[in-house]
Amino acid sequence: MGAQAMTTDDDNRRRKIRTNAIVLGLVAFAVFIGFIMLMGLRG
Amino acid sequence: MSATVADMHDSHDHHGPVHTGIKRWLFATNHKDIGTLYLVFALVMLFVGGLMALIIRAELFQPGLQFVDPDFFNQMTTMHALIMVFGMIMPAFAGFANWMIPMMIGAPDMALPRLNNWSFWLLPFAATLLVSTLFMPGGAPASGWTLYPPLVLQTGDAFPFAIFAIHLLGISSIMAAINIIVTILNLRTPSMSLLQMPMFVWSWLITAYLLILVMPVLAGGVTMLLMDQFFGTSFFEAAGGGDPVLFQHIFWFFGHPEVYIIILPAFGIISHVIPAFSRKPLFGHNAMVYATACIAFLSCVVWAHHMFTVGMPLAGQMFFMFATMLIAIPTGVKIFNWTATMWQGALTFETPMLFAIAFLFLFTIGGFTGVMMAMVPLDFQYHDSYFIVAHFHYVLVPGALFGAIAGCYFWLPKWTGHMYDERLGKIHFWLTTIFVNLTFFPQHFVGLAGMPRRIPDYAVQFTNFNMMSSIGAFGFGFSQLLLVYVIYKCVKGGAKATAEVWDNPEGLEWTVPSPAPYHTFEVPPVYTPRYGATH
Repeated sequence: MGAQAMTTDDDNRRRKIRTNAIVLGLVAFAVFIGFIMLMGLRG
Repeated sequence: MSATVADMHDSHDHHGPVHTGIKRWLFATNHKDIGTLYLVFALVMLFVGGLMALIIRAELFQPGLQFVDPDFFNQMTTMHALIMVFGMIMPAFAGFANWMIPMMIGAPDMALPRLNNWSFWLLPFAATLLVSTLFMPGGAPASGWTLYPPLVLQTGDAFPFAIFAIHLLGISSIMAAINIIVTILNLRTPSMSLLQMPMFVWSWLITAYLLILVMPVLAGGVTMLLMDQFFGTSFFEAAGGGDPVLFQHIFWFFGHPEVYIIILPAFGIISHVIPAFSRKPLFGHNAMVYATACIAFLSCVVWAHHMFTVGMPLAGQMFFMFATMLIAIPTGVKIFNWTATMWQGALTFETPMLFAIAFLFLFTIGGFTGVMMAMVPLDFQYHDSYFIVAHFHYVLVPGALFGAIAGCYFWLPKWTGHMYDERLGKIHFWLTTIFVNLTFFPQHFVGLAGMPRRIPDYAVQFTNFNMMSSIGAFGFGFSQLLLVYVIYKCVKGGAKATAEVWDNPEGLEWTVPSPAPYHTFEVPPVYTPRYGATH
C-alpha cells in the first residue's frame, strides 16, 4: 500500500471519527431537548 | 506477538510529555495522563464524600442530636451521595477506561484527545461548585440526591449553582461516553473483532451508550426544576397543572440505568481479575457480553420500582416488579460464569483476587436484597427505611468500589512499573472487608425494624446496631488511608514489575512494558486470541 493510500485511509478514519462523535453528540442533545419538549407538551 | 510489540516500543518510548510541570496536566491529551488525573481526582473525592459519611455516622452513633442540626444532616446525606456518585465512582471508572481501553484494543490513544481533556477538566470545577453550595446562604441542597420537588425547591441561594454543577458533571460524562464509543469503534486494531474485545471494553461500550441515553434526561429534568423555580413554568407544580410525581419518573428513568452505569465497569474489571488469578480464560465470554447488554436494556425499563409507594395502577406495579426480577437472570449468568471461571482453576489469592472474591459474595448479598425490594408488597414495607440504605451500599461499596479497588491493585504495576506491597494490600483488604460488613450489615436489621433513612435521630431500640454501624464506618474510612499509602509507596518504588506482571494474563495491555510507555501501539498490533476462541 502506497503513501497516498495510507493518507486516504487516515483521512477517512478521521472523517468517520468526527462523524461518529457528532452523531452521538446530536443524539444526546436531541434526548435533552426532546425530553423537555415532550414533558411540556403533555399538559 | 509480544516480542514484536516490545520491539516496536523500543523505538518509540523516547516520546514523552510535550509539557512539563503543571502544564503537562492542564493541557494533557495523552490518555494515560488523563486517566491518572481522573483516578487521582476520584481518590480525593472518595475522602471528601467519605468525610460527609463520617459526619452522618458520628451523628447517628447514638440517639438524640449530637453534633449537627437536622438541616445540615440532610445536606450531608445529599452531598455525600452526589459526590460519591458523580465525583468519585464515575470518574474512577472513567480513569480506568482512559488508561486501559486504548491499551486493550491496541489503539494509540483515545479518538478525541482534546475532548478528553475537556471531559476531565470540567470535573474539578463542577465538584468545587457543588461543594461550595455548602457555604452559601441556606446551605447546600438537602432533599436527598434524588432532588425531588417540591422539597428541593426550598433550597436557598445554592439551588441554581447545584443545578449548574449537575449540568457540568453530565456534560463531562456525555463527552467521555462519546469519546469511549468512538475510540472502541474506530481505533480498535483491525485484527480484533467486536466479540473478541476484552470484557472491560465491552462493559464500557455498553455503559457509554447508557450514559448517552440517560444523562441528557437528568439534565432535562433538572433544567425543568430550574424553569419551575425561576421562569414560571409548572412542570412539577400541582397548582399550575403540573405533577411532582413526573419528576420522580424522569429522575428514575435516569437514576436506575445510572446504578448500572456504576456497576457495569466494575463487572468488566472483575471479568479480568478472576481469569488472571484462576489461570483460565473467562468462562462464557460471549454469554457475558450478551448478559451485560441484556442488563443494560432491562435497566431502562424498570425505573418505577423506585416509586411503588407513590401509587400506580396495578398493571404498572406488576410490569415493573417482573421486569426488575428479570434482571436477576443476566446478573446470575455473570455470577455463575465468574464462579465457573474459578472452578478447577489454579487459584492464587493476591490482593486483586481477594477483592474480586469479596465482590462476588458481597455484591450478591446486595443483589438478593434488590430482588426482595422488587416485590411490590415487600417494597411497601422496606421503602425509605435503612434496609434500602443497606441494600444500595452493598451494591455500591463492596460492589462498585471493590471492583475499582481490585482494578487499581491489578493494574498499578502496569501503570507505575513497580509491584505494590502485597502484605499491606492484604491488610487493606481484610480491614476494608471486615469494616464494610460491620458498617452496612446491621443496617438491614434496623431497617427491617422500622428505622427510616435520612433522619438524624432515631428511637432508642436502634442504638446498638447504629453504634456498630458507626464504628464500622470510621474503621472503613481510616482503612482507606492505607490504600493511599500503598499507592504512594508503589508510585515511589518497589520491586520491578515485568511486562506481564501476573502469571501469563491475557490481553494486549500485558504485551507492553511496565510502566506502560507514554505512547503505545502507534502501529496497530496483531491480535491473536490466546485460547483459539472463535468469540
